[in-house]
Amino acid sequence: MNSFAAMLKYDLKNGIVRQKMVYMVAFLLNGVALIKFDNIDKQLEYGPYDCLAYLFEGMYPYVPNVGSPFIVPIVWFSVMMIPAFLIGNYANNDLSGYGSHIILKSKNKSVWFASKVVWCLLSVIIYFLFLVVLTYGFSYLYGGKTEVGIDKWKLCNGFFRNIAEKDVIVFTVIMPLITMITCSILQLAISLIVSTQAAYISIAAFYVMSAYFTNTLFVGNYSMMYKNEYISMGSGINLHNQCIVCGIIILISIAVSFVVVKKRDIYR
Amino acid sequence: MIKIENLSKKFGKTYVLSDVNLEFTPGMIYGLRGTNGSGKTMLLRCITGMLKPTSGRILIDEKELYKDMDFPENLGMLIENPAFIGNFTAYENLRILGSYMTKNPDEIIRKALDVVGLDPDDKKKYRKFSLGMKQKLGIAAAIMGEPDIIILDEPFNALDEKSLEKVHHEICRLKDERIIIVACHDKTELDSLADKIYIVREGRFFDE
Repeated sequence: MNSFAAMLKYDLKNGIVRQKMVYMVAFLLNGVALIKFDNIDKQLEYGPYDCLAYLFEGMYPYVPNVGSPFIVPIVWFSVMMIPAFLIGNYANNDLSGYGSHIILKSKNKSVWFASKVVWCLLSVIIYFLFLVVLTYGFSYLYGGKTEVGIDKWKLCNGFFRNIAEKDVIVFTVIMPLITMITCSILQLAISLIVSTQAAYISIAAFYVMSAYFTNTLFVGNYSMMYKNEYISMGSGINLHNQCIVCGIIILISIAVSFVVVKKRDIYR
Repeated sequence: MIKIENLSKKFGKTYVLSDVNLEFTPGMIYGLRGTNGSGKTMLLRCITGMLKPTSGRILIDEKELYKDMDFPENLGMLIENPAFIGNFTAYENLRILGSYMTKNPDEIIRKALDVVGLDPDDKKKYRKFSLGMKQKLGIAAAIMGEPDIIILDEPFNALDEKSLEKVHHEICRLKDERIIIVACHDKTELDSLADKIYIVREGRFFDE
């Protein structure tokens, strides 16, 4: 087994399998959010994409006005913040703990870093899969509807514009997943460059600011259906720009944190 | 051979190592003695490739550390409190490290654990280890595969008399053709083990 495969195996076991309790808590929290959705109108049937749309609906672009207080969309915020706790302080802890033994034996910090990036990516994907399983579970329990569509969500929100199946998948799966991956890689970078605490605070602040400002630079916007240009009838953010900005943030985060890790002292 | 030239390390405005010039040759056990915070551990960290000096250089077999290589080619270390995975056994902890050294690390792991007096087949998890057992595992990780350079920082902490004797014996056995550096604050222990001792005071190293 080469160094990278050995390192990744260690990270998957240590950073995902051993964190199964955190994943269970994430599962439960999202379950609570979906129970709330189920209770909105018990007469309406719903499928998994209705659930995902509810989790990632977010809020319409905020316009500060007297009498319109700014309220962070709590369901969206919680769903997006959970991966921050999965990423947490694992990389930093490992670097000053057992990981230091591994780096010394493998004589390679690059392998350690590459493995952490892949681990971060897989952590988010696994979390998202948990979400998808949960939404299918709910749909199965409450009606058995599985087709791609967001009918209940549309009816509950008085949204009568037709949305094509492929767009439903883009808004409820692809963009939220890309946003989560981007923010998690950014969090990993901040935790390695500054500190774990700074990373938590930055990501939470980033999401809150994303809710307040409808701006391409605040990536959190991309995971909110209401902030999309298509859904918000032109006042939201363009889909192509979202993908480009996410790509740039991921590349810069990886490049900068790699340089920092290569130069960083390892000691507790 | 390890050659340290004009090495200094500072944190903020404080120098923890000041203009250190030392040579370590194979076949010798070197002792570093000094009070807590004198700079012993910092020098050892610099030699392991974990702490980049502010100035000066470290040459290992004529190759400059942090320039020609990121880490020494073949080094084992125990620095301060060993950090291992809590819900793994001693064998499992070493197996991960051993997999980076050889395709089949079983033999070297069993030998290292046996030397320090730990049972390779013991199912006890690391988190349930006593302080002495944790220390033994740290030493086993450092000597596993009998590397060319062995660095041991306070290796005798929490060891009982029998284990102490075993570890002493093993360190002496390993010294042929190897560089062994032991940092310890206990004068008696170090006197009985080291061929040459340096006294460390405020980041400076002096012959005993």
